[in-house]
Amino acid sequence: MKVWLGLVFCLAVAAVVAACAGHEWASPMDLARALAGEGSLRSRLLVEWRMPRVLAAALVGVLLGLGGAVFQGVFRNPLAEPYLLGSAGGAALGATVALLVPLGLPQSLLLPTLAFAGAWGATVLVIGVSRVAGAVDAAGMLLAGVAVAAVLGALRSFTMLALSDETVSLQIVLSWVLGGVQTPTWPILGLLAILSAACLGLTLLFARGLDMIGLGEVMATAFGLDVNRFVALAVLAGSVVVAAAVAFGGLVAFVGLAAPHIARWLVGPMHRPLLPASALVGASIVIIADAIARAALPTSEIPLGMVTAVAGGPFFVLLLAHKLRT
Amino acid sequence: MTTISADGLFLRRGGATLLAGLSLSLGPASSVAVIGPNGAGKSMLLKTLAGIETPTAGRVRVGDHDLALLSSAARARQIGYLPQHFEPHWDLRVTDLVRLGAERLGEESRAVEEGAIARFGLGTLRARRWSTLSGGERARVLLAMVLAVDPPALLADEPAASLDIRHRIDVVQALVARATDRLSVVVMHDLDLTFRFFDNVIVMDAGRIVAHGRAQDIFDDERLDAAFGVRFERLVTTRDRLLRPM
Amino acid sequence: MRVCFRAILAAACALVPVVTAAGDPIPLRDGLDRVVTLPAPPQRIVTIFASNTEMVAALGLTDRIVGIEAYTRYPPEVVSKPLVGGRLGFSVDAMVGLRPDLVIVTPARQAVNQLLDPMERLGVPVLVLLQRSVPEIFANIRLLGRAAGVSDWGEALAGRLEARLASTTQRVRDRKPPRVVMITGRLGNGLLLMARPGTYTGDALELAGGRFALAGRGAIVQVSPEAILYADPDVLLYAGSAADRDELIRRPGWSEMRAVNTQRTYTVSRAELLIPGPRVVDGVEHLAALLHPVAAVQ
Repeated sequence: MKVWLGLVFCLAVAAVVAACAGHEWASPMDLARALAGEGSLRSRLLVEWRMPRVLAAALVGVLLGLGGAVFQGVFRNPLAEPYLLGSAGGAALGATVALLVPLGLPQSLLLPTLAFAGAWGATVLVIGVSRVAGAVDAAGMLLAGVAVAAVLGALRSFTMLALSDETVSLQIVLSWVLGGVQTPTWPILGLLAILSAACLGLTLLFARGLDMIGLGEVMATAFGLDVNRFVALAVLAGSVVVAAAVAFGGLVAFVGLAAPHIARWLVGPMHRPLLPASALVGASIVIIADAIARAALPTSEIPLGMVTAVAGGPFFVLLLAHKLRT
Repeated sequence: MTTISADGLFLRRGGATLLAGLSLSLGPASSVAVIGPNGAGKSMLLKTLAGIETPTAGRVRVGDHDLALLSSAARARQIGYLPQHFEPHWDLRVTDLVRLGAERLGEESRAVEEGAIARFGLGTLRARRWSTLSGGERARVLLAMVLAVDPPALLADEPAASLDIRHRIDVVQALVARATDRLSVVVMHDLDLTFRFFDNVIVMDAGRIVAHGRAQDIFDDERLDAAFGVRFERLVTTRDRLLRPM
Repeated sequence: MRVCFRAILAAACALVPVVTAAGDPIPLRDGLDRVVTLPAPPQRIVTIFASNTEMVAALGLTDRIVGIEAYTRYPPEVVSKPLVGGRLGFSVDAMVGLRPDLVIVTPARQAVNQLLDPMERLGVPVLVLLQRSVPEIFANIRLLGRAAGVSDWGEALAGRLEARLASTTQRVRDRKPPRVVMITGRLGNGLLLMARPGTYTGDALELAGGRFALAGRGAIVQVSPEAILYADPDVLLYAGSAADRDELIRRPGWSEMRAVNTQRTYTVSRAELLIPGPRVVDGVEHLAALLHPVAAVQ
């Protein structure tokens, strides 16, 4: 119980700090005044621009934490991360098309939609490829994922080169790929919140199966789990979650890897507590990373994916050292 | 109460024939030991009967149903399987592991979980993690997991192989005690314990059943010697029947 | 007889500058401070980037252009010329095939890195032009005029442009310069590119009577939208289509800007303000009209 309170408290503190952070720092008092409805430009921007962004970052973190936990559970591998099965490559391809092909629809609608479709479509493709190759187990899917990711990456590079129209176009796509949360409109934020809640519900349905599969495929089968079918469904569900995260936050590295680990340290490996804990941890991480992204290089921003990658490196060294010692 | 029967089972993997045309009929309530030399196919037989391996040819029936046509959940309700090696991937606590065993049929049942913990003496070990348990403790936890929901048929693969004598006896006794109204099929390496505790014995060699019958009949059977490739001296004491290799 | 003599004399006079010019090598100093000596006025010029093409064309030398780059669309006469580069980079082979005797290039999109070394090794003179301010563009025009052996024309063109510019700056000199943000590009992650000091676009903005609302403190060129929102300029300029500008100002927070609320968000021409060529003066004039409407009408 204490752990949960601690997690929620951590998240709240992170949110406050992040709302204060930016190229111009606000104090918590400014924040309070702004929420109370003070009319100055700064206050209005805090409420209209920064707060939705912080909330969106939190929700992206929730999705990444959930997706990461599902993938680590399915593949029983603490190094499994959500982008394993082609979703990164597919999302990048979708985003490239949205950013470079004039399709007539507003980009704020097109970008998340195509990124989502690309991410999820790529995973479906991977499952299909592994079925056709007759290797429907976890290892087979991973190999199919590598192959599909390679092809998608090549397609994306080609699309970028073929469609780039001006000096900045490669930069346009790369900037998205490096990850970042953009301030959503309030309706979009509401949609993201509903989506996140739905994803939490969806992944919790897989909690017991994930626990079972953690006992090993033989025991899981003996306990009545149709392992191959479960793996396929869990991967599909996990990919929906990851695709949603990618649609709103680009390719953010390491959060899907680190959040479940930290959550496991705190609440143990059973998935019914792990999934929501991973969501909370993920939310805190992304909120803080987004704050760093906005505050570290004033007037500009560091891409969110770069912040998490830079922080992720030392985290993994620590993890390895810990594993070696125990 | 349920019977398990197999009809012309063939199992081929990677060019090798692991089961070569097996037929048997077991149950509904008895204890059966499966013995034989290494490579006889004992583990494979058990896995095929449990539905973990799919036979290349032949059929397994559970009661009146074809095993292949049963849903995974229905199968788990009828048959319990105790593997030879068990290592959970995540370092779970004893209480979590037993709970997973208790919940496997889909219903959450605190009562069942508590019952299993009590039955196998795991009360003091509740909060301990798997990595901190000794071999004997692990065997008890595994038993509790599989037997929490006491299935009509239990297939156990050398469950006590690496344990000391006292734990081996405890495990075998727990498995055999069910035999009054349930089926327990256990792959055994310890011939003494086999002939002390089990009602029936199956002798396997090279993927085939060489002998199948009541323990006291198989004890005297010369096919036993042929299967193991060893001449046994039969010793009968007041309490035991012992086989001594010569 | 006299007519005949005059004709011959005229012809001889016409020939003299050609003969003289053909004889003297032309020493030049380009934007990277490289000394480039042309043996004779170049007749086969490859112009990389629209700005260089436009300047050479404005000097009346369209006929001497033998190769351009894919994104050049003005003036109409050059559009059908052979291409030596485009979205996939630049082709040294294509350029060599055109047998150029001068290549004019700007250090954008890796052009200088890709072309300078090969061209120098092949003995083809390369002029690298920089354009950090509007006056530097005029200096480039003069340089190109000298390089091509048409210094008078170059001087005349630059002079005309300077005069127009002076007239515009004069008109807006005493007006209070509004605080302006000019957005020149948008990245996939929401960051924006804007005109900043030290570039010709930024210079054009100031010459048109504007003032930077946000100088862009960072070393990085991309700017967070929040910084622009906080800067709250009087005028917001968008170098692009009206549809894109409208999409931008519909995003969260933009409606708080006074420029949006007072309808002072305008689109400006990319061709005029983002090509460092002769048309930049058109850009300054149009910009001045937007920033200081009353003064421009005078």
